[in-house]
Amino acid sequence: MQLYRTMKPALASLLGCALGVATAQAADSPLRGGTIGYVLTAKNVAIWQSPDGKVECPEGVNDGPREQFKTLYPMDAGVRYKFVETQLEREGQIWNPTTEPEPKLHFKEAQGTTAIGMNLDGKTGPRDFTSPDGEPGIDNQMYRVLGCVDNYRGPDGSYRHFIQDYMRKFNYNRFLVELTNVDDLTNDEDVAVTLYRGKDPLIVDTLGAYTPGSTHRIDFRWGKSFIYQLRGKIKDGVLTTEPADVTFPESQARGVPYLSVRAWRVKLKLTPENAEGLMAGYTDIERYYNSLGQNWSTHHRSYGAEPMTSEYRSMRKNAEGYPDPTTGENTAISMAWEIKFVQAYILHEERGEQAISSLRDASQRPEAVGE
Amino acid sequence: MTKLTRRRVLRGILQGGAVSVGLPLLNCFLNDNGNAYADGTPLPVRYGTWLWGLGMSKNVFVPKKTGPGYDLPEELVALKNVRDQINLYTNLTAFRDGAFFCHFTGWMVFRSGTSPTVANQAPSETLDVIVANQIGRTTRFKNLTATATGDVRTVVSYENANTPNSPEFSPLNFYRRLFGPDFQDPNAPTFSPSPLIMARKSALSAVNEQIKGLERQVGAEDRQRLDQYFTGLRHLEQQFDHQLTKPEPRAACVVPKEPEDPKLGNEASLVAERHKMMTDLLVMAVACDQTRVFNMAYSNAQANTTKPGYEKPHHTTTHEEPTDAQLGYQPNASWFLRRSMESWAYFVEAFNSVKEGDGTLLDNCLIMANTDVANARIHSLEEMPAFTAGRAGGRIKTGMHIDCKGAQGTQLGFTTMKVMGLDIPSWGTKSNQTSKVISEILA
Repeated sequence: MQLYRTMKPALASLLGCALGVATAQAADSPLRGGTIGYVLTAKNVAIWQSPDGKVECPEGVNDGPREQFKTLYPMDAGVRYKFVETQLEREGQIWNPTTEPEPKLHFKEAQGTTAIGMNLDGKTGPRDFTSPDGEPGIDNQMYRVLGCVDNYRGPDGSYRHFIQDYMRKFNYNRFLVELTNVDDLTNDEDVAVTLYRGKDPLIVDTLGAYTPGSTHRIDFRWGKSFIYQLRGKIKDGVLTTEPADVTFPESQARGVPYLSVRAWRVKLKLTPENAEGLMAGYTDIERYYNSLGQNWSTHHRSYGAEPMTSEYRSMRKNAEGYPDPTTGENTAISMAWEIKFVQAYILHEERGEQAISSLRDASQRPEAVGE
Repeated sequence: MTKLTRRRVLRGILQGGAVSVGLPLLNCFLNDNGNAYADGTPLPVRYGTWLWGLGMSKNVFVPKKTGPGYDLPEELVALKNVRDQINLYTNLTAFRDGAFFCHFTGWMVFRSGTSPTVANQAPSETLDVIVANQIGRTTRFKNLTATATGDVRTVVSYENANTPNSPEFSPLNFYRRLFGPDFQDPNAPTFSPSPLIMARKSALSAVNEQIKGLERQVGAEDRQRLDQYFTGLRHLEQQFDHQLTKPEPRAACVVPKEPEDPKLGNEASLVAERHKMMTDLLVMAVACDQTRVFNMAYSNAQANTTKPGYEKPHHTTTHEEPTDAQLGYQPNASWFLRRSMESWAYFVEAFNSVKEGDGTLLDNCLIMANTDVANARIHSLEEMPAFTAGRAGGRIKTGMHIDCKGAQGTQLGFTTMKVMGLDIPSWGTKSNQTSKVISEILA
């Protein structure tokens, strides 16, 4: 697999997208000059759920921060606690997680043999899952960790809800995918797939549905670390990419988090208007935990009953990739997300920037493009 | 002799002050049925709002049947006795228009017609104020707002974007404001204008003269400020005028006894008790024609009502309580909503229990009840529920469940304002702007 990062998009896409000029394709097709762009509109941790939840969570969902705190520091024993022995101690444990046992706490990992995800290593191992449509060898050990955490479960887990809400509310997490060198959206053996961070808001219609056809500028100034160019192919309308280590912006309440995923890849059903499917890879555990702890407050984690220290132990226990060269302990865990995009025109070049800027009030003028 | 009308007043001078004395509500003023004035003018129609927080549990709230005779799912069982006096609206939408504040946007869109762009700041006046500016000028209070939360911060009415109408939060204080020394009993055999009011009016007149003088000396911006201030004083003057006029008799008006304030707190039974006391006072304020526009907040939008033996208040419960897979909803969150609906039923029954003319006080009211979200857990602004109660003097039908099929929530507010006789072609802004009336309820 060849992975290379680029600062200079292809000239064809510069002209084709930035100026909105149809080159090789029909004027009414968003595939122009062999290029089509998409913008991410939905991303959920892939959690398979049985109808009553009993298959994967026979003991129900996990306790959250409040419930765990009550268990650790019971009030009915007549004990008078000190602040340092309770709240500060617990905060210290959350910020400095370990793999030591938590004898007073019971963490419920997801059970069963079914999970949503992708076969990341091309093998079928004893701990692998089978996908809902019968594909064996699914690598998604994060499902064991998060499958019975209410935050991530549908249809209305709080994390699921807020992540979508922030997708609309903030621009930091704008995630663009551009396909170039595309001859045919149904079958093409070799396409280039470039990831960018955008800096424009998602466009919705009056009913709140994301509309295809909006224009998104690339964040060349602060988003350089999110630019990756990958190899892909389209077969029967499904895009798959070769694995690559990527970092992408996350959408959370506070700060500017990001996630790092090893051997990341997508499997997306493409249409000229949208794309939908999965992305998967091996998530860096420390990055994931830090991102969650820094940006998702105990208040919000309580909404979805998310017990961080217990999750950490479970992540480390189930991690299956990228061992630390010193300790030999695995640092990454397989994971998958369900994702949705709508088609977007991705604006590359400075002339386009200037054209948009000239239409704006001087006080709203965006930063100059660094490239 | 000049024809005798209900507007005829006797004018004179009392202790140096101008006094106008109205005539009692004589039978000759009414039509043969006693349901309108003889000239065909209907009895006054009053306008009210009621707010509850945190939406509903859809699968035990939304009836399966639409139209009249609809079923009452678990969360609505408390409405059994008032079902035919209310309308239930489901599947309304509050459009965000690019901004969203979790528990503020939804109810504010319903009340102001606009999606706010700043948290906890109203984009404009609320619809009760719009109605009050039309029908509330002839009563002692242009509008009255009360809350059952015991918290003055539970604001549900805005005079304009920057001026909240603070609610009455203490039953005792509310009583004293309504029935204290300034109250003129409409059924009292004698009428003595309050010297205190006369003194206030006199002082106000002097102030007004000074303002006019000031206006000639200041720049345009300050003149605008003075004008706004002056408008407020004019309203005060109108109120004083009203209090110097003998009120029309009101058979339904019975001055209640002075209450004792309930304990402070948000426990559901305390909120229900406070709601009951505030409601009873509000009903009498309306029956005694102290106001024709009123608002009641059962809870704030992000309700912090608590349940005995359960550690989480209502809002926290909606986010933290797992959905029961068997029931299909959050049991404790639903418990709180059922308490809300019990108080809504009490509110409707309280107005319906007062006889007025050939019907009830409720018959001459139009009350809109709304909430901040549909599913509180995800702050959804789609599929939102709302109610109206009362027949607005026969102008609307009741007893129906209407599936609004995703229509703008502002259609409900617009409809109620049109029913109240406001001559407005449309209401709201951007995606929430509407000129559509919910015609199914029109009589």
